[in-house]
Amino acid sequence: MFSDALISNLTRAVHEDPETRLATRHATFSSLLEFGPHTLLVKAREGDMKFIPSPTTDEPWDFSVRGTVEAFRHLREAATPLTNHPIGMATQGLMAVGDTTPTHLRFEGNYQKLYANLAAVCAVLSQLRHIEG
Amino acid sequence: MANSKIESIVGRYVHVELDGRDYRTYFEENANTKGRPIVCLHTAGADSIEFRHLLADGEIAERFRVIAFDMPWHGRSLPPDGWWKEEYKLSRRFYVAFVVAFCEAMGLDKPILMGCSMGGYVMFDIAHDHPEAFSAFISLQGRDQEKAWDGLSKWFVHPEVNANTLIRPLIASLIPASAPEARRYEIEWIYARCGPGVLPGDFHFASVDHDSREYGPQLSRIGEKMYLIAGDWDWSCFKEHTDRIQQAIKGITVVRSPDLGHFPMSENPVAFRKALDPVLRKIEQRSN
Repeated sequence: MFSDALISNLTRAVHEDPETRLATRHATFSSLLEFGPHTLLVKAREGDMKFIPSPTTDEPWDFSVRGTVEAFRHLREAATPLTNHPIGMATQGLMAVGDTTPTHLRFEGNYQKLYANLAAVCAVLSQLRHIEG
Repeated sequence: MANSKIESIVGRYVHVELDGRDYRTYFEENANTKGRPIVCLHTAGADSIEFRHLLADGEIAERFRVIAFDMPWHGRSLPPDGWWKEEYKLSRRFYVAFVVAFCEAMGLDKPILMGCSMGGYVMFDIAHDHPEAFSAFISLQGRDQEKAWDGLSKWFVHPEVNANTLIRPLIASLIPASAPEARRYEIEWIYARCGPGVLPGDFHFASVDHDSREYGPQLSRIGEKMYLIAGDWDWSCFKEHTDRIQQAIKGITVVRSPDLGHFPMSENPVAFRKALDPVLRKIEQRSN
């Protein structure tokens, strides 16, 4: 899932895309992305973004973004009403009347860090839809 | 400037008296002062600029006098003196009373009322409390009840979170991917200008004070003048939500759009007109 090619392309996109650069310029957080058995640490220090696949316990993180392998596929495919945006994928189940609308993603951990860096996190996640790998 | 272009939208202030306070209230309207009035209510944390495309719409202006105003604490309607000593919390009572007081201050006779998001939620409350004061109620992305919004409130006033950075991805998540790029970012900009504590204060109404479920069936007696337009891309207003309203209010007209999200009038003006036109035609036919 988090292949060398994907990491390389994600790193390049995050550093080269002007909108993502603006959204991440002072970002400071560590976030674990976890989809099924696959993990990737997103480490941001004052806008310096690093991506570490399969991080060990040496790498602490502030909050996680968790979903199924299918949820990851949704993040990479063309947007639909249910899979348009990571926040929507996390929130729609919360607002569902019954159990008909799924929650695709879960944000968990230090919510202050999450909300302080939400624009940066979403900018990084949105790049998954635009890169190869 | 031979090539200059001045839009026909006019902005003015009206003084609205409520609870012993004078609210200097900003409104904009199109050029058709003789048309049938449509009063537009903006979303939580935003202001009347959301309706700029409808206000500038020449075809609409031929038939309707479109008026959009900024609620106090929003846009160019400043909060009353003393705002620095009180936490802003929009109540159902104040919201309903202010909309009615605004229409009275403007001298409007049974206008059409249209509002989006919290402006769409309050539509059911106003219809319940003042069913005869308006000729039609158009709720955009309306819900009968939603408790979840208020869970976000703390983070918009937290000292270690920048509210106008936090709001942008939240807003982006509610807009269709298919909407024009410039329009999508326009809405993010509108929200990033929100005053301190205003969005949480509006969430108080949307999440805590508003619950029209119990009197939904009572609204059936005016169901023929109630309309609900809802876009599929809004994760806070899926079909299951509008189905519940449709089941409760007999006679309400529901229009679901595959091209709209949470901000129909600002995110995609063309798709919005497509959804709105049959509703306006129906209202005109009813009147004739």
